[in-house]
Amino acid sequence: MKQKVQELPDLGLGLGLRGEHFNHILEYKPAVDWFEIISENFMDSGGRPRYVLDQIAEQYPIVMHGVSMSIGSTDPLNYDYLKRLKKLADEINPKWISDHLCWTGVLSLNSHDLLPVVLNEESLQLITTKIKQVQDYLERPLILENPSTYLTFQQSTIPEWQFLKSMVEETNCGLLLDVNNVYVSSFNNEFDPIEYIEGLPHENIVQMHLAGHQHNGDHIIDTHDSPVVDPVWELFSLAWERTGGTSTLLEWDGNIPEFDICHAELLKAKNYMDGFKKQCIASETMQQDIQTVSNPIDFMVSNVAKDFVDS
Amino acid sequence: MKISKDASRKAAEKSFSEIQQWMQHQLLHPQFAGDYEAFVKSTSKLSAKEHMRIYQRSYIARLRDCMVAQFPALSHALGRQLFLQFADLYLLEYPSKSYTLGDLGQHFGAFLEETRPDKDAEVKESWPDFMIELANFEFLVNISFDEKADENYQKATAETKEEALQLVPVFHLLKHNFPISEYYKEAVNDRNPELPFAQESYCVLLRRDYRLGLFEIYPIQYHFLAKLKETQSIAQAKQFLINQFKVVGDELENHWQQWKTKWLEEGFFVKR
Ligand SMILES: [Fe+2]
Repeated sequence: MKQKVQELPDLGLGLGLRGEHFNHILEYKPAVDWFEIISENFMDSGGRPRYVLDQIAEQYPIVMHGVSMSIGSTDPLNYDYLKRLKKLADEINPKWISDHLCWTGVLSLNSHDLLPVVLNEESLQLITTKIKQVQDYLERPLILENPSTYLTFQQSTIPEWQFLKSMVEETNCGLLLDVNNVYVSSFNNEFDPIEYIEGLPHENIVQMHLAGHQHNGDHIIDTHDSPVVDPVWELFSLAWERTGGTSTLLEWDGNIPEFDICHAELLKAKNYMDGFKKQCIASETMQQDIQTVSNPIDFMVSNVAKDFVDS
Repeated sequence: MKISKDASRKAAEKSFSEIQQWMQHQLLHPQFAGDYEAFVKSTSKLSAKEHMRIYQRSYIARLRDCMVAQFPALSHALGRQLFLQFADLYLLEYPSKSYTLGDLGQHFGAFLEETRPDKDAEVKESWPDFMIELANFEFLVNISFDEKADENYQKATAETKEEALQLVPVFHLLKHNFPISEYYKEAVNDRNPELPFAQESYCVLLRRDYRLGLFEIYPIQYHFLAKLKETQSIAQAKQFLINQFKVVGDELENHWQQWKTKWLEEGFFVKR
């Protein structure tokens, strides 16, 4: 590998790049430190998404964040996918490439969901092997994110933070710590989010994610469709302290508000950079039980019908 | 005691790939009850089955959302309920194998053809034809939005010489047995169109400056543009109408001047 995780830059505070904001960004060139793209939205694009990305990439640092590598699948790596991913990286020169510790399908199918992996010695072995293969192929470190999870397998024997730590020790990959996902997963699977964050190998955390979610009483869905809640901000301040500060990004994918509202939400992060104060995370009030979907598709497909010229 | 020990040994024996195949099966076929306890831990708030249910619900809801996004007019034509029933069956028959959701609906037109209710009947009903045409059209709209094409062109103007006029790179010329383009525009602009009767229609779907445009045209214009697309020569396209449709040269020239003005405005042409 040409570059080490520890050499990756601190990009500051960034936003997830979404089609709804293309015009605003091109017109006003807002003072955001960097943007993160969903790699799959641009890998084969020959239309407006790619045209806009090329312009934005000239003016802002870009990070590529993928959802389909399926590093945790027992299927072999899809080299056709990796080839397209690498081609996009060669063209837009991202600061790094990330995906999730998850699988999206087996037997060549894709569920288009970020599915949870069983956490044991067998899966650790297979996943670390695949991470090394990807890093060799992409010639750069792979950065992996902790996904939101909604179940724990009976066969899991290793806590997720420990699994991530072993992965890092074995491959020197980077971590994308999604603080909201830690909160969501800890609620759904009943583990301690503070112990989780304390246990991670902080020096390999390259980036953090912040996002909003939907609390349904007996479970939480990671919807990325609302402001960040206070308990997540508290976890963020803990992670900020432990990592010494690192590139941080706000994801907003459902009911996407105007650019300035997203940006203002992101900048709230500055209020949580002066140390972790609470010893326990405040609890959160529950919202009504609305049927919601994790990872809404707005984040993956363009709304083409609304993009016609008058004709 | 003995039973629970057996159960936990049984659980521990499941291999990584067995677990994934089981879970994927649960997502695709939620109607079949699974041995949830053997794979998933229950918590104080949710049973193993309820934990799994979150993934099952999200799987189908996400893909349904995507199908509606790719086929908004068809979803209107069938009504949301019926559309989702078709979508669910389609997703069972053609589960996604692509890394991108952009491909999700690529076989939907073919699927509707394969499963049309009057498939084996001698006399066919016309509404399935409409639905299939509309599905194929809508998928083409999705493709056209993001397809690769050389976009480094100069715009043609009224001053551009005729020999230098060339069709814009993303230019689809379409002939339908139903008024598809009209219906599509009405539906996606929330104007609540009624199901149309069969009626041949012709349209152009093009992309100009990365924006899509959809224009209805007359049959004679369709033939003209088809020849132009094939030969990239306006002179040859004109000659084709004169030969094939016995159009008189002077009249054609009159028409062409009008067509040209309109089509230049609508962005049909770039400068060679
Ligand atoms: Fe995230």
